[in-house]
Amino acid sequence: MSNTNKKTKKVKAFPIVNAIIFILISLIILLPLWKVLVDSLDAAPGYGMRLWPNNLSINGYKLIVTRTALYRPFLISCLVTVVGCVMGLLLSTLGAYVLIQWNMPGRNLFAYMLLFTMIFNGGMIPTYLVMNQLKLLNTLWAVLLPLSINVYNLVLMRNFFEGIPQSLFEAAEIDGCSPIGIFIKIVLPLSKAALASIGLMFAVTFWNDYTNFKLYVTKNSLYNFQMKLRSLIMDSDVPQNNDKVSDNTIQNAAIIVAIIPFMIIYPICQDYFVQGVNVGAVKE
Amino acid sequence: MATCKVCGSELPKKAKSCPQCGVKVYQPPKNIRVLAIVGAVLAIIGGLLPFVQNSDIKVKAKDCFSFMSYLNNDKYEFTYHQYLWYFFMLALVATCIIVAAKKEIYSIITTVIAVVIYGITMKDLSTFMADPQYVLGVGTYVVVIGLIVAIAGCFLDILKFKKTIEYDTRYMKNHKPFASRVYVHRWFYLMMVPVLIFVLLFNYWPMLGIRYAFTDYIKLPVYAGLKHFVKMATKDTYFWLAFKNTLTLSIIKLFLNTFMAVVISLLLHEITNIHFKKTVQTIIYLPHFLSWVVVAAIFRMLLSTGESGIVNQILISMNVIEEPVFWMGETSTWRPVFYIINIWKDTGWGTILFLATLSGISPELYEAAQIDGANRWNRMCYITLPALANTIITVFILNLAKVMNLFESVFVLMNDAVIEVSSVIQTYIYMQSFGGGIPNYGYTTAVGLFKSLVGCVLVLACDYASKKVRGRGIV
Amino acid sequence: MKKLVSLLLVLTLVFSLTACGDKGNSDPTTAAPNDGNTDTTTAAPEATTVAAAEKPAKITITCDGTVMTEDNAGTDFYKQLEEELGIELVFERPDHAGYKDYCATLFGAGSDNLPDVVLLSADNYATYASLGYLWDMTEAWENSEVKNSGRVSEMGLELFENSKVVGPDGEYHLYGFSAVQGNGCMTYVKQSWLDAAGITTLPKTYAEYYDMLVKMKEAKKAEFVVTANGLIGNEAPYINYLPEFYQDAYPEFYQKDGVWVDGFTEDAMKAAMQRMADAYAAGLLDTEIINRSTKDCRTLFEEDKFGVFTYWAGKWCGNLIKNIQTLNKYPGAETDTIVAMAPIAEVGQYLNRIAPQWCITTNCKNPEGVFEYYLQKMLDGGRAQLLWEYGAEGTHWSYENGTFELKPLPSTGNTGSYNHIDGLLKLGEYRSDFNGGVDIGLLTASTETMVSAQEVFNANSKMAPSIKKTDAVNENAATIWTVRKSVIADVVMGKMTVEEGMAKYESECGAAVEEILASLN
Repeated sequence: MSNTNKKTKKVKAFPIVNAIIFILISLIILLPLWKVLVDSLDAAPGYGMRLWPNNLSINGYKLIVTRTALYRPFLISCLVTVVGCVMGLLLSTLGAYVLIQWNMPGRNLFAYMLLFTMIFNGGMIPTYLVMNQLKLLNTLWAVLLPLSINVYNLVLMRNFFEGIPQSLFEAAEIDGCSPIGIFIKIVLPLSKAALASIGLMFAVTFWNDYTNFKLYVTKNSLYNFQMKLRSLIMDSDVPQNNDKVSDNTIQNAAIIVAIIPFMIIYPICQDYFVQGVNVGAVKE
Repeated sequence: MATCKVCGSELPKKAKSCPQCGVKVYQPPKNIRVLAIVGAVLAIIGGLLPFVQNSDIKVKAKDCFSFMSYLNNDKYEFTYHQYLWYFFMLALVATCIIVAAKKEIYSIITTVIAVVIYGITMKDLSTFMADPQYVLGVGTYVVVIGLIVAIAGCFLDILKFKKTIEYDTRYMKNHKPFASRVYVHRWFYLMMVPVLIFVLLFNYWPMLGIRYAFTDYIKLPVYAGLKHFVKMATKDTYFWLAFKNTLTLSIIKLFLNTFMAVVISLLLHEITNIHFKKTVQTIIYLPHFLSWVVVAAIFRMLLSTGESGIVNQILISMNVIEEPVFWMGETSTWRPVFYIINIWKDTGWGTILFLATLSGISPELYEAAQIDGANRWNRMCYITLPALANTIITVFILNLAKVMNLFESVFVLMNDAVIEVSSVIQTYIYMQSFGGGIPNYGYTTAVGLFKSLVGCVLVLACDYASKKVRGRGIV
Repeated sequence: MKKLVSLLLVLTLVFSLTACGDKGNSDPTTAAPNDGNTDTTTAAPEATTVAAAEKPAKITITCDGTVMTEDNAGTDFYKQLEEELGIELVFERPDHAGYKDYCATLFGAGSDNLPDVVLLSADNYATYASLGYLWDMTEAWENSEVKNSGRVSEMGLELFENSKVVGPDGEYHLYGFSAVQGNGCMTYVKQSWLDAAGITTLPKTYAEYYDMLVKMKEAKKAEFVVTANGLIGNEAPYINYLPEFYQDAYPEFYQKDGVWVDGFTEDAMKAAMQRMADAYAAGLLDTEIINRSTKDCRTLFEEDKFGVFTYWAGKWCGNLIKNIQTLNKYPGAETDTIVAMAPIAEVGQYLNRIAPQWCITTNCKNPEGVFEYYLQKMLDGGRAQLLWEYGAEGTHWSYENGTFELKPLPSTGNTGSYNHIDGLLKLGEYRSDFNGGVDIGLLTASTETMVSAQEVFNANSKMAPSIKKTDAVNENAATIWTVRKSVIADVVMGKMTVEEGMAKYESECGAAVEEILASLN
């Protein structure tokens, strides 16, 4: 595959070596994952590694799909991920846009105020009390709001914004564009790669969140998929059920199901990584 | 930091004048503002320390009173002090902010307010001092020194900042007086508001809880002065072990992970076939989605000494080792295993940001380099890496802030035989909270505060280094 | 495209608003009024109780996943329980796996937010009782209908007596109520391994036990014969997964003839470590024992990788057999079985731990009422107890023409076995006027094997030593346990001798241990 565009010239060694390296790396990465996949397809998964399921069965997946109690958590997870992602990106881009205004009075204070929150935190109990006082307990806002302000992502976003050529801003300003106009018309369209990668990071944070749910959400109807998955994995007191599918199988199937959304989303994000190339093109 | 006040362009280090507009660069008088802030911070710290202490050295760390504790000591009842304490702290924080915003003249007001509040409490201090058992505590001295320094700093700043520099009026298009600069940026302040509200509500409000580090918090917080810090420093050998381990494990891990992520991103960047590239990327980022519990179970199995231990079997068949090695049960092999598992799990995830950055490099640069006859290696060294450097440094420093938070990965991989090389601060806190005794929330907060301070030092030091080397910090 | 995206956004926002505002639909049957319909039988004994406490209208309850969850149609159970008790019940249920963290936060946040009733693990129970968060129910228990009814077994009464812990005043009081015994672990031996080693009678002494392990290892060419979740447990009673090796050693502070001692420094503990080290060196104990999770152990047992397994008594005996047979992972698994072993002579008795306790918090306005009309109803020997044991009638089980049947749940298609009260572990029998005093579902929900294993355990168990917490304990316990665990691991794995281990313990914890002993005695 790597020598498709090598026609007449000598065959270059590097692309081939590179491809081989990555095939090896992929294999190493896949080996432990393979264990999960095989176990999810085996009616009685073993302790050790198997290349292929001993007794192939898709009952694990069937059970998960038919288990209606998992539908709502899955939807909640999707909802939290989508809303959280939007909120997170909104706050990060706003904050990052402010941070690149070097002339703005108070900009440094704002920057250090943000940085400070990365390092110091109030701890579990004070945070819980605040949530309680804001009357957020047992609502999804208790998860959405605190997680959508993420200084780490905000600073990374600023880092990307910095790469936008200054001349673009100046040109827009001369054209009479307001700061908000510049933000919407120039900054956001030029940062697709950043939005995609940081949006992905937000999505993963929200999708995988367990800690906040554990402490602030005690209502079964608001549980997310990770909570259910966790109790499937951790709850060792579940006796073998009747339908000849091992709990091990169900657990592994649930793990795979939890990964699938991101196997779909990531390649889509990657398209934006490529589109990011256009930064230079707009300049002209 | 190094931007031209007039045209806003970035300045080379130690430039006398701006290369773009030619205006003389004004070097602000240094280290004066710092004085006022240091004073205010000293006073804030003093406000947490004991004002009165028992003179008996044995109970000195425990039997003590400060601003906070007047409320819940059983000897005297001064209910209004806790509120005064909040105002005192607030005034000092305001001082810091005002000084940082270069409005020193107003900072005098807040500092004086703090002094007045402190004066009010001194009146009650005499009640304590009537008891010969008590002597003045560290806090009193620290607060007094801090307040003096703060006031002195404020005055010095006012005097120093009187003189202003002269700009060449031709280049004054961007440089406007403070008020008008604020006006120009009015929309940005509006945009800042939501972020500020979130940060204040969900980060700064809970941060008031840091004061519990100076209390015994078992049922209700009772002021305990420096007790926990004394315990950390002297009594608890496992704390220092955990501290050392945390630094070693997470910094080495951070270096390895960043290095691997960079290498993989660079190599991935060289792949031309888009489908192969996408597939590989997707595969290597998958492990990030497995929870640590699952990862630990899988690796325990792969590294087992029994028949399921593939690693041992391969190594034996290759004659590298003779007997199966209990990788996770030996102090000498546990750490390498830990690093490898971390690399396995998080390298792919780490490449995302780098790949996004790399996609921003204009292809023209490569084409131009190719015409100049630069080979692959040269292109990487002179185009790709410099483009990536900014992201690498930012990510690295941001991750440094999280260095002390290492927990789950260690928790699921450690066992009793390797405590010496694997116990970290977070697992230590976990043991303290759930390991037999009644959890003292004050102690865990104190450890947390210590952790934050270390993280703070690491980040600020690296940020400073970054400023020195590249001329700008990460925020 | 843009329109589509904006439409989606609007939709999600609307959706989120409705979902986030999903606050108050947990109480569909707002306080089912007590019209005394079905429970004519319960009315009679109620009248005999001494103090007539006021009946609470609503109780808030925090509990873990052992009470039937909503996923398992728990709502039906709540509804029937509410009807039965005539009280509105509000269940708060954080995630089961994170329950410990949740409790720590809840109590840490102060007593104002506490629910009326909370289910606490034995360790947390002792902690929060000593801090004064819990209501002292000693008197209520003494005068309760349940205690004086005669339905509670001797063992049950003893367990209640034993679950008294030190309160804020330093005296022992009862702060918790449990309808079940805590249960403990007993040793199971695989039949096929016994056959292979040619052993017909189960070992009675340690020598015989050790001999059995050796023979098994030879006969099965096994890598190891015994494994467990670590060499020592994380919570009291610590030694329950390897009783044959620990025997009379108890590596924690305990009361011996009225005096508190450090069990770790006693000769019994030294001998125990030596036994484990020998067995480890001989390949009888699993090389990787310190690294095994409970789940690893169960999977390995199902795969026939080892033959002697100490695990929870009763229900789990049946579950282990069922898992081995249905999963069928090795030749002959379908017909294989396990045998519950009585404790060897040196062990004497297995340890029965303190069960998770239902506690009334000091935040409760009407603790007497909650005790009388909610807590003690778990053992009312009638319909409430039946609901607590099997869940909702019609949803989880049915009883017609003298046959009890467990029903498959619509959500999973599985039949549940027990609700919060495990029939094998329950402390109180049913009233003679309620189905003739018979536990109608016991033999449907559990097998003969489970019942007999539980009987073996009950006949051969004693209460785990009680726990006492002082300031010195709180301050040093974590460090001491860290050293203990590392010493045990190092000695057993042959990295140091018993004497060296003890010397290490002495030098690192000697002062702290003395401080603790001084505070305890």
